Amino acid sequence: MKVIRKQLVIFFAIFNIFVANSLAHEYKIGNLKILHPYIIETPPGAKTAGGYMKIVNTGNQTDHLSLVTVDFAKVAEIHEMKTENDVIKMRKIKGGLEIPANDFTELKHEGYHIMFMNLLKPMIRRETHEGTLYFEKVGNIKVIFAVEKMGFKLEENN
Amino acid sequence: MKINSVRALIIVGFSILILSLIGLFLPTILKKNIQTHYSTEAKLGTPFELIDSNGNKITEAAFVGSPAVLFFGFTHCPNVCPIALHRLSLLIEKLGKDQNKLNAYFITLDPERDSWKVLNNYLSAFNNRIIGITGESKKIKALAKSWGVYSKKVPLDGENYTIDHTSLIFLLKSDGNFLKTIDFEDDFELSLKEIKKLLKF
Repeated sequence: MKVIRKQLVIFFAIFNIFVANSLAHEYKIGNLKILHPYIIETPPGAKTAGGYMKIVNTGNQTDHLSLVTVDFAKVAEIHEMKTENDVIKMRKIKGGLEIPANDFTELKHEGYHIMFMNLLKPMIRRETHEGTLYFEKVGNIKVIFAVEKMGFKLEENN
Repeated sequence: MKINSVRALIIVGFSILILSLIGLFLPTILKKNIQTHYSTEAKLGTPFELIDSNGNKITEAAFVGSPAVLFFGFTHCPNVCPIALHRLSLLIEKLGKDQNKLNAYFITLDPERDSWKVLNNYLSAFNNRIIGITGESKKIKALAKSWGVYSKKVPLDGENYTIDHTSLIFLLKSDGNFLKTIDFEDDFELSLKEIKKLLKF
């Protein structure tokens, strides 16, 4: 019994890795790689949502994510979240989000994120939504945001 | 000789004066950068009369009788509030049979946009032990202040705004008195341990 249970655990662990990986998606534009753009599902009636992804820059030139447009929300802004003295602060980033050369920038729950405001529809798990990312140097690219369940983190799935 | 020793005395005296002045003001200077510190002796909270997310009147009496957890936030918050509520839900579920012994309250810092109906709808995505609290702006402000909770509206583009706010989760003993705070970024198992401990008070 115990052995079977162990095998089952291993099987599911491997299965999970495959499922998680097959769900991850990425894009390439110029020297930039955009990993798994996603949004966390929203509680009923929520008017805001956060957008996240990892952007890897393999080039020798710093780039900036200067604008994001979507049609499921009236406003999309690039924000930074900071905790100072137990107080959470959120601010719009001026001059675009820096993607340093030969480095990466991660948009995640505690840090940079795309703030979608005045949502025109709820973000429902497993649905996808289109958006356009505008970069200062490499230009713009259409991406699909996957809606992930609450508690999802890219770090744990990649 | 005499002049020299007088001069030395003056220098020593001055040094002591300056050092003690620094010592006197150092706490105030540092305080700005020190975390909000809550001690168990702190008398927090105040009587209140507000509305819960079921549309009923709620007062400070709700915090007495069972241990309780308080979290201040707002529904237009994209990151932290849903994450904190989600985590709180998971913590409550981990209590198993004991979850009925714990009360949990989500107090909005944005009563203008968060009516009890908005809270009711929003909280339906989380554990049903979490009850929302809203009401008159002035009264919410007084309640937040009594818990040392900072909140400040920050305008965004258009008519939008966000609220800078204290993100601590307050643990209250069954007599309604403050025990300690936990942070939504703390280790999950650690938070669970703290909440299990809270159930004994």
